[in-house]
Amino acid sequence: MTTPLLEVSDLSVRFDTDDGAVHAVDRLAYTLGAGEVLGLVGESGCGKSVSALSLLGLLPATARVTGEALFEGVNVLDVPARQLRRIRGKEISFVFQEPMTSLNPVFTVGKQISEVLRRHLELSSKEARKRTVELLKLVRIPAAERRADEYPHQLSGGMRQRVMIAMAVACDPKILIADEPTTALDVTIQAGILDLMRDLRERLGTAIILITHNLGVVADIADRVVVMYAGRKAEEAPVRELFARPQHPYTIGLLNAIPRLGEEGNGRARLQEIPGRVPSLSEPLDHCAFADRCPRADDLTRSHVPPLERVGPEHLVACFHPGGEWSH
Amino acid sequence: MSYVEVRPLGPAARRRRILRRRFLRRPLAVVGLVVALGFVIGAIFAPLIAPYDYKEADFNAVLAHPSSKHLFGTDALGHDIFSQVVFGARASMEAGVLATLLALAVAIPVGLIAGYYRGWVDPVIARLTDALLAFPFLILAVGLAAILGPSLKNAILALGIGAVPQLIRIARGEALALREEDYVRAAIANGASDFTILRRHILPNMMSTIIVQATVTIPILIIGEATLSFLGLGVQPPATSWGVQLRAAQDYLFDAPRLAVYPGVAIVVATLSFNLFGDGLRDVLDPRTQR
Repeated sequence: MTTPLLEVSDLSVRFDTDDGAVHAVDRLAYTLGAGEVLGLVGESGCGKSVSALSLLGLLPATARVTGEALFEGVNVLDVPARQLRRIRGKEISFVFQEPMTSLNPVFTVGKQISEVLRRHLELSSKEARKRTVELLKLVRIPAAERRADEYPHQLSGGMRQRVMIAMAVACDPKILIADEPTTALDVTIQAGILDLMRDLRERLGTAIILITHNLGVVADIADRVVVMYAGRKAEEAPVRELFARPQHPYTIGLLNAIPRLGEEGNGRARLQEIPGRVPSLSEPLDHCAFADRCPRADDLTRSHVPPLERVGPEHLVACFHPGGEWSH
Repeated sequence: MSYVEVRPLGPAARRRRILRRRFLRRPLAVVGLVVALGFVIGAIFAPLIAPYDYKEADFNAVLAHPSSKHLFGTDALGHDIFSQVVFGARASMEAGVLATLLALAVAIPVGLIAGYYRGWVDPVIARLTDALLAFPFLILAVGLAAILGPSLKNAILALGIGAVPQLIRIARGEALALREEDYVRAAIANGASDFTILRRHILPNMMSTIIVQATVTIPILIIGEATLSFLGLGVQPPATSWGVQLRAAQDYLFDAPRLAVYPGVAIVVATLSFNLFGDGLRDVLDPRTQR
């Protein structure tokens, strides 16, 4: 196998707050190949965003990040601030969840995109302007010339997210990290944004880490999926494999929680939820994090942390009792 | 067939037009702006407006009543009071505007650094401003002016320094709030340096608050200048200011109260006009007070 573009290993994040420590991410490891789309899935608070933000040093000062994240041979968790600024937005860029508030209200969107171009590529203002319009066209904003001169408040949420994506891919980054890029948008617009991201991957060859709680989104665009639970990796598999043969009871629970049409007659009238709640992360858990909510839990699960086991060529699962059926 | 091309207004122009319309709907604010501008223009063109020089004494008409020759009458030394009031506006406007600019020049960078960087700098600056704010503004200014020595320049310096803590507090509060904005986080993720973030993202977004605050600081400093000059810590005769005139009027308060009334009214009207303008500006620029 060739060396991956990004290799995260042993990544842990702890927040030291006034109310004690929170172990948000616990020894997470994953790899990302060039041009690959990796889905990072889990519910709120499972550490998926935190782990991604930690890669670019975007966490608040209370965060303690340990481990390693090798990007082209450099550990990005341990580079000087100046070098990190050159990586941010140029090599690895970020698209956030909130398109409504992620643009500065006092400048036109064109100016804001140009700013990134001028910073990283040292373009003249004229070149930057030209490239800005190209980028707006690339993210399929109609009347790009005119839109470039508009202020954020004149654009819809979907448009603004397109602008954010244009800004993120402006310098042709190798990795695009998209943190719930469609969550704040209408469903019809979500599809358009996902379509755009797929297109960008094909045209620019950008690898994408897509963070979402929505397995439907993952199925749509990801090559490989990492399912996270309570700061740990629960399962990792290529997307088809994951949907065909989910192993971890949590993954199965998530899959069962996806709404589907026309199933009333099949004896399942309502969605299945996962009972219970996510454990508090004030202590590093010394047992399976999912034990309290798991139908398969036993004494072993409640006393030991399940190691990651390989159950297929690219399929890893952290469960003592993997496998089983899920109702397609 | 011919078409008339209708070019839609650019967004900046449209926003300006909306703001202008909003402002014009507030008659008091418009009056405030007009009168305040009148004072500033009057101060600049004082030699053209005043019929006499403020130093020119007419010994044949001492303590004269208002007449066509002396619109507001004359004082004990035969100075034309109207001319005195017009020239007096110069010191007031100079003090109000320059001291405010001086205070802003200090307060904005300090407030930005404290609010944006936090760390140990922030509590130090915050406690320091709290301590300075514990002094009533005028006492602080009087104390500083006394130390610096009496002159208009020093009075401006003292007033400027006196106004700094309040403005630091406002700039710091804004920076503190704005650093948490999503667009600041997005800018960091795009590799912006701290300087870029402060200059391009935080400063421009706090300007409307700062402008409003500056407009309401000017009248406070106008009163401050008058007070210092009245106490002999500001403008020194024969140079004149409204404070100097009030001080001179003290001795004739019963014989010729008009000596105190004219500069007094000038101070009230000037202060009021800036305040009305500032309040209107606040309403227009701050969406939270939108009706």
